[in-house]
Amino acid sequence: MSFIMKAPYPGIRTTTLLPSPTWGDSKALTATVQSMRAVDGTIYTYVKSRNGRMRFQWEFEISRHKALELREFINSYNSKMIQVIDHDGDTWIGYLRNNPFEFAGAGRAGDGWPGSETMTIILEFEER
Amino acid sequence: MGVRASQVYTGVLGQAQQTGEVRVRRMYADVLVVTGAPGVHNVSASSTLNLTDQSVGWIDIQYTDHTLNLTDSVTVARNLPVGVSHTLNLISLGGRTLTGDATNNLTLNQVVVEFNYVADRSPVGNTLNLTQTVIANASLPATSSLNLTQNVVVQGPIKQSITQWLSISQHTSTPYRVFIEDELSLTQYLRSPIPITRSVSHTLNLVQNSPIGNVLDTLNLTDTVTFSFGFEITSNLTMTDNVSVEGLWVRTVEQALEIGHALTWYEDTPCTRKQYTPFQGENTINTDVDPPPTQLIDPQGSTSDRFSLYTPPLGVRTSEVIIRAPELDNRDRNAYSRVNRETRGGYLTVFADPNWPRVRTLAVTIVGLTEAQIDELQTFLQDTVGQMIGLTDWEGRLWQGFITNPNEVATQDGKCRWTVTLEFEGEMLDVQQPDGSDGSTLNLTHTVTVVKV
Repeated sequence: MSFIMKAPYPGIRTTTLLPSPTWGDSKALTATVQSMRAVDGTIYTYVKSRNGRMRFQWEFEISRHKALELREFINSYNSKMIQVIDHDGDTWIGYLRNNPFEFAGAGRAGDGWPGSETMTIILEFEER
Repeated sequence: MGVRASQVYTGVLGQAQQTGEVRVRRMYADVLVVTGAPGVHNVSASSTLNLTDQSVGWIDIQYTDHTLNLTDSVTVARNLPVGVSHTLNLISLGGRTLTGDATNNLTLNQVVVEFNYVADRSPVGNTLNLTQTVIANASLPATSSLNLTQNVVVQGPIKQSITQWLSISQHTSTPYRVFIEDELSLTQYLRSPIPITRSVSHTLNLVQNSPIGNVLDTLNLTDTVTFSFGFEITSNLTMTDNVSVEGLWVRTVEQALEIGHALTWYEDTPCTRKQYTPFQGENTINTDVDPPPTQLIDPQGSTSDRFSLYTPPLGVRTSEVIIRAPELDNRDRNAYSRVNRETRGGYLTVFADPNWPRVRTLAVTIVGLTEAQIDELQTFLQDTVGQMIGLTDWEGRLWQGFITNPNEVATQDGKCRWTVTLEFEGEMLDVQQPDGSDGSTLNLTHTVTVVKV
């Protein structure tokens, strides 16, 4: 199953395919709560529901050339709304939230991996 | 004390005995003759006349005719209230299934001659009501021709007033298209033998309500005052047209609508998950960013086990440190300037200007260095701290920037094994020379093709 990123949304022009992320992907709500207790013991909570937005984190191990492609994609659309179809087939609309995006050399790779190296990158994505 | 003398005469001429034209004529005269007597003040002269013609029965053609002349004349020698009045009711009926004809011709003339007394007023008034009703299955015109003439001749500087109040109402109940026209001509002429204040005015209100068709008012007002010195001429015109139309309305709706399209495509294969294959479609939506290049711009050059730092970044190098290539956990950090905002509705918006700065940082860890190499490296860092230096990475790419951590600790991991981590912030130069040259060599190639004709 591919991991598909399309941008810019909704006038999608560029599509980048990535392999499925490694284990350890996560998703979480962005809502926050702040509790305050009054002198009589009453608890007051201040909530930022953030419209139920979700925040995701995926880590990819990709080839060197695919990393260069992903870097160009991020260069172009780091502030644009993108569409993500994740490895489960779910579609999400939002923004990339990393800053900075850090490509790390993971190791040597065979000839089947363009660039003969593998790189890892963590993408943080938040719904619009 | 009064004396009354009366005479009654009734005559009947002819009687219908057979088919043909039959005329029935009655003449009636009642003459009251009042002979004056000394000291008598109440004098009245009245005529009461009832004429009824009726033709019924088997007569095919009916024709009734009244000819009536009423003349009242009162002559008094003194200034006493004198009233002269005529009350006349004419009813003409015509009908049946044939074309009916109902005509009333009435001429009223009242002449009052008064002596010239100061503040004396002589009212002259005609009150005339004409009602015509036509009930038929076909179109028949109903026309009222009304001529009102009022003439006051006054000798003396007294107030003159002539008023004509005329109301014309036309109504039809037919559900089909109808035409209603009111033609009204008002002419007022005032003549005075002496130069007193005169005023000629017209007040005209036209109100037309039509559920179907056009509403049109054509109004010509002409006021003319001819006199030896200035007078004011004023025309006040108020026109109100109400049109209520139930039917088709031709409406025009215009919207400035921009419609664009976007087309993208991709081919999901194991190779496209590894190769540099950004699938580019097209769209007509203008964006402020350039899409990723379809071809890899900075392909991986010839890998080398060398990693050099030098100064100046371009040109002949005056100082250079060459060490071994870094470990595989090298980092390529790409930081962008963006503005993140959250709307009241909880939506996330991100904005970045393409011209805002972007920071690219290389973080490398180099192991297995000797102490001499560490000393040489630290000397180079000390000499170039905060300055722009050149860097050639293990892929032969040229960079220009500066070292952000000159105080990084170099650690001795073992005998003759030192480890150091460097962070370099800069940008890749376009003069990349994958063949390993320094980029200061310029090669120009001229190709001339001569075609002999």
